[in-house]
Order: sequence, then structure tokens, then C-alpha cells
Amino acid sequence: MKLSKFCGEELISLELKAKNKEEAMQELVALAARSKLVRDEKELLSAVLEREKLVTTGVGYGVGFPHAKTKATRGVVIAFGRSKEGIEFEAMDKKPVHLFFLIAAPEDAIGAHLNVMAQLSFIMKDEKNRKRFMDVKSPGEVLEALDRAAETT
Amino acid sequence: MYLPLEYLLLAAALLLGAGVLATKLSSNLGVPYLVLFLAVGMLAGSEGPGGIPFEDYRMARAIGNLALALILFSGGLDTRWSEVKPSFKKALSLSSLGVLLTAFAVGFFARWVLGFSSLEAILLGAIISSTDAAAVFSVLRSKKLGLKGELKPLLELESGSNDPMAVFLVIGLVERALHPEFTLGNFAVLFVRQMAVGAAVGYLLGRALVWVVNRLSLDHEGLYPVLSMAAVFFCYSTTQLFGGSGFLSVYIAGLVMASQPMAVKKTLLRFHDGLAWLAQIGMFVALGLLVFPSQLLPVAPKGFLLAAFLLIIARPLAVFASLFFSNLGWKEKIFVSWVGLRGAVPIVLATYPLLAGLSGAKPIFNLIFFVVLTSALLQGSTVGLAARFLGLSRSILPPAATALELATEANQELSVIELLVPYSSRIAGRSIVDAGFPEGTLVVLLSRNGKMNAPSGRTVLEEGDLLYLLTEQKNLPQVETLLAPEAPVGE
Repeated sequence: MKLSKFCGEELISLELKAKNKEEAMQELVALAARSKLVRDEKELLSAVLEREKLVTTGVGYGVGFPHAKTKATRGVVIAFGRSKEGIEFEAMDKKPVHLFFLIAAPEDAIGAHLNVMAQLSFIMKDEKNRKRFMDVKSPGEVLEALDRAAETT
Repeated sequence: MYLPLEYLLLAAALLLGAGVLATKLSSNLGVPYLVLFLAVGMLAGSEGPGGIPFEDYRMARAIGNLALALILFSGGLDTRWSEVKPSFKKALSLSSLGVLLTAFAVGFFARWVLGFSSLEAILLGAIISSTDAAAVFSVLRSKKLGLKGELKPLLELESGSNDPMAVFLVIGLVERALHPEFTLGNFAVLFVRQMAVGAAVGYLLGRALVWVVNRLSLDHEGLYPVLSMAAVFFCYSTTQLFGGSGFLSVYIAGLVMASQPMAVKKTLLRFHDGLAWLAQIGMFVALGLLVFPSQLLPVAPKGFLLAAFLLIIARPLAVFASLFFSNLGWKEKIFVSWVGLRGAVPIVLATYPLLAGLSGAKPIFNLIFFVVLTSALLQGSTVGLAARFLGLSRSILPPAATALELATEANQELSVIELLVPYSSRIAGRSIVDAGFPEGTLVVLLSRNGKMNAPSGRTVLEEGDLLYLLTEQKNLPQVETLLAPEAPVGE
């Protein structure tokens, strides 16, 4: 499964401006909303926040996977955001988060949603890959890194 | 005659509304929908209280053809290919040989018992030879009827695919009546052309539409139905223009689309289902308007004889012969014989000789109308009874909700949530059973690196695994603590 096909250069920000969790969420959802598949930015944001309330999606090692299953999108969408300084995200290991993958999926695509998220989290538990995403210089490189990492991990 | 739009719309609104409300009556009276739709039309017509004069056979035929195309496409689209595949050969035999035998048997009876001329007799047989997709679909898909084995797919497939054969026979016979030099050879050419062009165009357009829908990313979901409706019209009209069978092509296009994975399929299904209902009500009401009930009485004696012959002898004969080599038992064959419901197609086909100006066409039209009414009333209202009597009915389970929906619906506290096993989580490396999930929490699915597994208690968890968890919401804080990494010493 090529992860890059769910993403796109316009859905990537290498320098998030957000200073806290809430701003980070807004910025990431705004990125995702650039996808033609996303119908409703507001609805997506509230779905992501709703899910975040239940259990944090900051899985540690400076990586976060905010996500939601919602009518607001017609297909699976991945938005990527990076913060060199790190953002306090109530992560499991209490450390700030640098790499964000926001995953939005339609309500009837449970399988695709779960598999995309599982693949991303599998890739990012490898330190080499985390470094790769910290070092990328352009959105194009992010897309490349997504597929390369999937092949080599 | 010019009518202002307001009057036309008001009439359409009242007729369609009455049609929709009539379906509520249908379940009480045990009468199939089409009879009630026809009744609405007849009551609204020139001889009923409605008093709407409508005697435009050309218009009625156009409405009928358009409606049938929409109904057949929707029927094809709503077919589960894997379900009908085993019945394919039997259905093909029924819709080719079966139709031919029915036509000849009825023709024979009309010639020698009812005293029609040879040509009129065989024409009558051809017109009445196909079963009605709209009627069969709505009777079989009614919620109360469950059938054993492959009977349902077989009957649906038959009724969807046998109209083209009847249409071909009628067109050929009308040609023959108008031009006596129209030979058997011409018949053969007509047949090949109708079927081959119809099948080819339907198949190609079905595939093309799937391809387009899957690749074309339209901004609004509501645009897809418009596209598919345009495709149906295109399919029907081009096929007809090339001399093929439009009914065959739209039905095959629907089947092809049903067999392929496709985006927005649910949206399309719902849209075309609604459109098919509109078509059905519109068509039967129009046909009801068209007929003069007072002209039906004079043909009643012949009509009864013909209907009785069709139901008791011609249809069973055709079914038993067509399914001679099949593995169906005699009970199944009797049942298939009984679900030979006639409907719109014969009435629409009966307008062909009328419009071609054949003498004797008017009595044939009235006779056909009478037989359709009898068949729909008698057979349509007793299909369930016949199934029970022959021991072919089975009780229906509620549609299979997914286990999760079921669980979360039955217990509002339960919900499903997707959770990632955090990096350096304390449960990574433990088996699910040892992880210490709170009571009443179940790992339903596990996806690792994008591959889905059904986990067991022995499955060992890894960092980054995605768990699909069925749990009560109040357990979530406990689960969260469980997932967290070991608290660093000294914090």
C-alpha cells in the first residue's frame, strides 16, 4: 500500500506555527482540508478533537497520530506537520511531539483507516525513519520518505 | 392540446402520491403493487372519477420503454453477482427457450381454441411471453418472503433477461405482418443483431462507467447519480440506434457495474432504486390511464380462458422443458412456473401492433391487459402461499449487521475505539491475555504494519500495533494508563 497516495504536497507543512495542542490540531486539520476529499473542515476538527479526548494519540518518541472517522471526508487523507521545537501534546511519554500525521477516514472505510494508521505507526517506531522525517527539506521529500520507509521497514 | 404547467404538475403530483399511498394498501390486501398502480390510473382515467383523457399510445409506449430501461438498470445494479452466478445458465435457458415455448404454446391455443388468425395468434403469444421484472422484483423482494436455495436469484435473473427475447419476437412478427417478404432468415439476422449489439454495448458501457466513476473525482457526491443516469440513457439510445436491444444493454450494464468494485456504489444504488420506483408508478399509472375498463368486459371470457391456459399449461410447459437438464426438483419447477408474473412488458408490447396499424390490434391490446391483470392478481398475491405450500419458504433473518454494530447497539455503554500501542509501552512484548486489560474489554482486530489480523489471547503485542478495541467508555482511563510507558524512575 503506497501511503503517499493518501497524502499530497499541499497537505504537508514542515514548519508548524502552533505552540500548543489545540493550535496544532487546527493547523493540521486546515492542511487536510486542502484535499478535495475533505468536505467540511469544521466537522473534521471536532471529530479529531472528540477522538483525542478519549485517549491521547501521542504515542511517544515525539510522534503523534491524531485521527478521526467522519462523514467530513470522502476518502482516507493523511496530512503531515513537523515542528522542530516540539509541541506539548499530552503524549503517552509526556514528551513534546515533533512529527504529526493526521489521518482522516470516511465512516465506511474502517479497514483502510486502521491499516493506514498501523502502517504509519509501524514505520515511525524505527529511529532511522523518525530521523529521516526530521531531516526532510521539502514536501516532495516527505512523500518520497513515506513510500521509501514503507518499503525498507 | 396545451395544458399549463401547473395543471400537469398537479396531476402528476396527485397520481404519484396516490401511487405511493397505494403501496400501503397493498400489504393489507395482499395484492401486488402493479395492480394498485394500474387501478390508480384506471380510476383517474376517462372512465373513472378522475376523468383524465389519455389515449396516446405513442406516448404510453415511450413512457413504458423509458421506465422499463430505468427499472432494468436498477434491477441489474442491485444484483449480487456472486449470488446469481450459479443460476446463470438456467436463467438463460428460461429466458430464451422458455420465452419461445410460451409464445408458441399460447399462439397454438389462440389459433385453435380462440379462433385468431395464425399471425395474430403467434403475435399474441409473443407479446405475453415474458415475465415482468418490476413485478417479480417487488414480489420477491418484499420483506416477508424468504425462499430456499437459488430460487430468488434465478427468478430475478429470468425476469430481467427475458424481455429482450419477447421484444425481438414482437418486432419481428410486426415486420412480418407488414411485409410478407420478411423471412425466417431475416428473423435470424434480427435476433443476432438485437442480442449481440445489446450485450456488447451494455458490457462495454458498464465497464466504462465503472472506470470513469472510480477515477473521476467529482467535487460533489450528488453529481455521480446524474452521470450514471446519463449513462443509462446513452446506453439505451445508442443500442437502439444500432439496432440492438436497449433493454438487454441497460440490464447487462447494471449487472456489470454490480459485479465490479466501485466508488459511491451505495449512493448510486439508492438513487436508482428511487428512480425505478418513480418509473414503476409512472408507467403503470400511465398504462392504467390508457385502457378503457369498459372495453375489458367484452374480452373477459376469452381473457379468462387465455389466462388459465397460460398459468396452468403454457408456463409450466415452458419451465419444465427449459429446466429439463437442471438439478432443480419438481417442486422448485412448479414454483418457478407460478412466479411467471406478467406485467408492464406485455402491455407496452401490445402497443406495437396498435401503432403499426395492424388490424385486430385493439382486441389484442385489451385481451393482453386482461391477462396481465389476472396473472398479477392471482399469481402475485399467492406467491408466498405457493412457497409455503411447496415447502420452499424459509424464515428470514434480519439483515446481518456487523457484530460490532450489534454489540454497540444492544449496549449503549459499549463502543469501539482504535488505539495504537505506544512506543516503549509497558504492554509491548506481552500477550493480550497478560496485558491486563480491564474486565469487559476485547481486542477485536489487530493491524500490524498495515496487515489486519484476528488476534487471540496468545497474540503478543508490539509497539505501534493498532488495536480495534470493544470496550465500555468508563474503562478508557484505565486502558490509557495501561498503555503508557513505565513511569521513568524518579519522576
